[in-house]
Amino acid sequence: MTFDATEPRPNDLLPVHPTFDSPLSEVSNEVAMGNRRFRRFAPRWAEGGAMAFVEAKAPRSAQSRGFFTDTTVCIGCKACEVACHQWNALPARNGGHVALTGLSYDNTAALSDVDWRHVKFIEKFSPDRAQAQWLMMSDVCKHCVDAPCLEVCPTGAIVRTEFDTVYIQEPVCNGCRDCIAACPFGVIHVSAEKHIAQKCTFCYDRLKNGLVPACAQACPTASIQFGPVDELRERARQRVEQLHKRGETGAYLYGADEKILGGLNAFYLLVDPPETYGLPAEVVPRVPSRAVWPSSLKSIAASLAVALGAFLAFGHRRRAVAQAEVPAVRGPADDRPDRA
Amino acid sequence: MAMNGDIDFEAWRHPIVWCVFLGGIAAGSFALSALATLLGSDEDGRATRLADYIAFPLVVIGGVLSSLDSPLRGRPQATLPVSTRFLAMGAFSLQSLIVVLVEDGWVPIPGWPTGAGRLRRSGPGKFFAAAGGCVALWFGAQTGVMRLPAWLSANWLGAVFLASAASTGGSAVVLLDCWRKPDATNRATERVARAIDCAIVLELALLTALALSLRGLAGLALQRWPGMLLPLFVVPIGLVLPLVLRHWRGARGAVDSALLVLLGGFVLPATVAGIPGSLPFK
Repeated sequence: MTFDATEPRPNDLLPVHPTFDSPLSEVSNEVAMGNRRFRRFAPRWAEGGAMAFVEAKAPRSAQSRGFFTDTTVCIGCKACEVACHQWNALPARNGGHVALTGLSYDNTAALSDVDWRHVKFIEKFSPDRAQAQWLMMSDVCKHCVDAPCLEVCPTGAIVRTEFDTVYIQEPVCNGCRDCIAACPFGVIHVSAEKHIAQKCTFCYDRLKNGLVPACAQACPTASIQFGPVDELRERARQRVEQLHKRGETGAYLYGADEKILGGLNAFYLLVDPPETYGLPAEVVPRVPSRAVWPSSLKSIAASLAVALGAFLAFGHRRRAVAQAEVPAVRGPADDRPDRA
Repeated sequence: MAMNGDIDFEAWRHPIVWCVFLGGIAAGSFALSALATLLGSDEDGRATRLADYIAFPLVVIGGVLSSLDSPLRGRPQATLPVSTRFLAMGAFSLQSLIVVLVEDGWVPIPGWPTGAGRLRRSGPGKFFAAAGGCVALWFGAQTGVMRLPAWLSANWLGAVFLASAASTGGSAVVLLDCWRKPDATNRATERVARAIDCAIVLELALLTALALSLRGLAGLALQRWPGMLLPLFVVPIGLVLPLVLRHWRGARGAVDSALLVLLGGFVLPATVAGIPGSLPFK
């Protein structure tokens, strides 16, 4: 399967070659707000000219771009995976020899440092296994509005772009892996070769040049739709209504509202519970900073308890010594302090 | 890369576990030393000196391990929170080590008072003990806050690791004392052992609170390897048995008890680091 990234589309302005310069400076010139933590800790070299950073939660702007993935029309062709690999020059593993996973027709298995798109093949059977159904879903970074990865990044390598997408600046990443832990969707991975965090860039270079992200352009069934987030939401609601009228009453949107991390810029139309697709549902993902105060207060309480224990162990002894020293002044005492 | 879609946790395991374990011992021993300086008597000087000898080398080893754990050693490690903690703890433990070396005559400095505990019991010495003790308690709690998936909302984890740091740090002091003078009946380390008992009781309470706060996740995690080590090894062997040994065999059980506490103190971070990878979801 091939993908012509330069094929003109209605909203394409100018094709760009994939070997573009680092978009570091482009991000910096366009993004307005600063990351205080980065400024406090980052070394001079990392600040790089006019580079600026945004906070974890960014207000929706007119430029907010996103993906609406309609899983009901995904046919599992993996064109999005191929397009992503091709445009971003992502290498193949093991020289292209892929081990079979046994997970249906899915041998990509999961998102990784070299697989920024992953088409899931979920086999669903009736209890008697007489009926079978395939659920297919093209998974990707959700580009959350309250992005936990962006919040925890200690070097400011993860920034929010002018398109309201979340982007990792490779030269600034120090490979600490905090973002990996923070991401509730398991999107970010450390590259085995570069030793830095890697994930979908939302084809930032293409967006800068007015092109549709490679995956969305390659999708033959329009399962992956790209556009302004507000417009996509409206389109998604209409699609859900349409499906309900057709009898698919289980259809719903995942991540289109603000319940999950303030909203997902890459949201989904699903027909089964989120867990079926490997998405978190019961435990609503939260940004890590919410745990700072409760955790700190409990640690302070534990510190006081340790100090109390030390007081019981050492302070009691000091009082006993002080009491024992009184008769020693008055006269010879056979009671040594240690026996008190 | 795990084939079931889980994140590969291998990179976190070994250096970070040793880093937390050794850092915990350093924090715990230093905190107990500081508290003994502030709250204890002159007879606690021996225990505090031993703790001061332990803390700095372990902080250095832990700091090196935390840097080794990061795949990019050429990048700005000083910007990592863990490195900031190690730097702060390293500064105070180095100061204490210098003080104890001067007091013990290893580093003769003309004009400086020598003799056990004189520098430490002075006004500036107590000020540094108070400040260093606070840093050590903070350090002990923060080493436990490993930002691993599934633990991000576990608010009790830092407190659990702080209690563990206190018990393992005290145990290291007791062991070192018994190793240096096996026949000595030192009441200073006896009091350290009492402090360890308090820390163990606190750790048991905090582990219970942690398990209760995790709700369904606790049931899921503790039924699998390595999560099952918490109820089957850490609690009975690393916490309850040392308490029983100490009260059953008295001073004779101190070494065995300290060894078991250290063993439990190592298994705890190893288990905590291993649990997220064992869970059946991302």
